[in-house]
Amino acid sequence: MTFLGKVLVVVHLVLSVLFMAFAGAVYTSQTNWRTKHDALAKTATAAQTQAQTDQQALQTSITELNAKLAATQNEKTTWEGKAKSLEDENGRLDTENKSLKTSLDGQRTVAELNSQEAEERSKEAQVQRARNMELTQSRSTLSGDLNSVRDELFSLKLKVADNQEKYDALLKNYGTMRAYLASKDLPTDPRVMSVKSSPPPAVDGKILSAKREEKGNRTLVEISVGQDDGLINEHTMTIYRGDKYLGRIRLVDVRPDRSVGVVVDTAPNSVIQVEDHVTTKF
Amino acid sequence: MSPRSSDSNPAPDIYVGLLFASLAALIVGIVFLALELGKYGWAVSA
Repeated sequence: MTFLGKVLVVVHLVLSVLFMAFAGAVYTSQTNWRTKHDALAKTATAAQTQAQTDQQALQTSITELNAKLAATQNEKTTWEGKAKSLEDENGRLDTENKSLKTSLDGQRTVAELNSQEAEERSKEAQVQRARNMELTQSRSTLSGDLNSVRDELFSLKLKVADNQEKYDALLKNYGTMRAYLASKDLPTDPRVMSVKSSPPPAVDGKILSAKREEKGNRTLVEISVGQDDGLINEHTMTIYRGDKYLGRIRLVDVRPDRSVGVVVDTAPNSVIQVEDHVTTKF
Repeated sequence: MSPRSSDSNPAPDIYVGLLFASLAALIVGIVFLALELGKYGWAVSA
């Protein structure tokens, strides 16, 4: 055998041994991939089944969620409508709030004015209270005075009643006396009685007119003095011109500033004229 | 290659033994691989 044959034999032997070692190693330590493949295939099948189940459930969930989404969208639309309505309401309330604020400011101003008015009224009330106290004191005083006046009035009423009795008695006596004087043809007029009992006041005047009655024999004269000068009916006056006596008149109609008298006595050959003087001094 | 003499019957030497040993190793390796393939049911396709 040649040297090359020998080398090839040795190499052949080495390679055979290596082949045997590798084959033994593969046989002893190699994992059984088929078993694992089957297990994994079962796991995959179960997982696929589970995945299908999950997919169906997921599809159901998707359907439900779509329904919920549609309902939610409807609800969203509803809520958007409500939100818009609320926004409009909010705007209206905002406007109303502004209006109320404005009104509140006005009311606050009115309240301040009322407060000031109340303070002024309080001050006025204090003044009125002081005035009331003064009036109360005055009323107490006046009440005392009123009681005094009432007492005095009562006493005066008693006096009046007494005087009324006296007046009634005097009136009765007066009537009796007037009847008695009339039965004796005596004057019952107090003014005539005073004329007869007392002289007339000293008065000077002039004759304003003189006239003789058409029926009858009396001469009437109008003179420039009357009641204002103290004259009354039945007073007699003397007529004169210068220092000449012309006659006498008796007053029958006395007015405030004029009087009319009847000539009761005339001097012989004398004529009574206007501007002749009359007097009560003689 | 040198011509071989036809009258001489060469005696087996160590290298023949080595060849038998390598034959045995090859057979053992083939058995191992056959057993391994038996685990897969002799299916060689993927």
